Amino acid sequence: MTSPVTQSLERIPDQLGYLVIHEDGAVIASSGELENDEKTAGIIMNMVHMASRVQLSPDRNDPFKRLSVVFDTYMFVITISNHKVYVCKRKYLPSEPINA
Amino acid sequence: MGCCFGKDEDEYSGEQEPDERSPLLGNQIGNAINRPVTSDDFESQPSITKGDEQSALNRILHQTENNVIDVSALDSHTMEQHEYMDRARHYSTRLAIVGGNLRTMRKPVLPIGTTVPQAVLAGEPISIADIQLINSAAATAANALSNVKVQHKEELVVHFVIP
Repeated sequence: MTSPVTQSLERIPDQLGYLVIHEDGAVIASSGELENDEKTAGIIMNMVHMASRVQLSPDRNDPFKRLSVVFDTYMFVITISNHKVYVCKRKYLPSEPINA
Repeated sequence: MGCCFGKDEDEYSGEQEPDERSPLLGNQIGNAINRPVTSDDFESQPSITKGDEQSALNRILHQTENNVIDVSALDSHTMEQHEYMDRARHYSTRLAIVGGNLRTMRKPVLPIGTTVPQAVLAGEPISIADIQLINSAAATAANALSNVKVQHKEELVVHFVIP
């Protein structure tokens, strides 16, 4: 399935794969390392449902914009748009030095 | 008089208004089941083996007859229009009472979110300083939670002094 959105997901710099999940949990589109990765999709949907319950601002209708799950060398960036959850796996290249 | 949950048989036997709890199958079938168990039921069993095939077949036929539920023979209770309305109103009021709980059981719907998902996903990754801030905040919170203890200050059992 190629739509303008999935085409632009392909062009995200350092992307390793993406998932488009319907809000009922069904995987609509996938590619790269996340191709047909239903397990990851399920885990991410749980995290999204959990995160959407967290009230970040006084306005209840102001949910998170982007959810980042960061690992050592890669990360998942997740956002919601039009009843679909967009997940992109990207290479994680820390640009700033770690000042512990 | 029965107790609270005593399922008294006579409760449904009269000309009662049928509701969602009234049995669909009337007594014309029930008598086969409710028939008191007599000694015949047990004594007649060996007679089958003794050879009277015709009576055995008749018995099987009779038993099958008892087990078959002839739905068409049951007098179906046709509901009038006003009965439908009454029930609809009754059910909707009941649903309104428990409805609040049902709604919370549904999975929460997702927020509308952004209109440009590709732009959000392509944005700069979260800064290391932010990750460190969250990590230290979470560690502090976890530490605080693990240190929550109950301090016993008073006696658990209090003796009332009755003057």
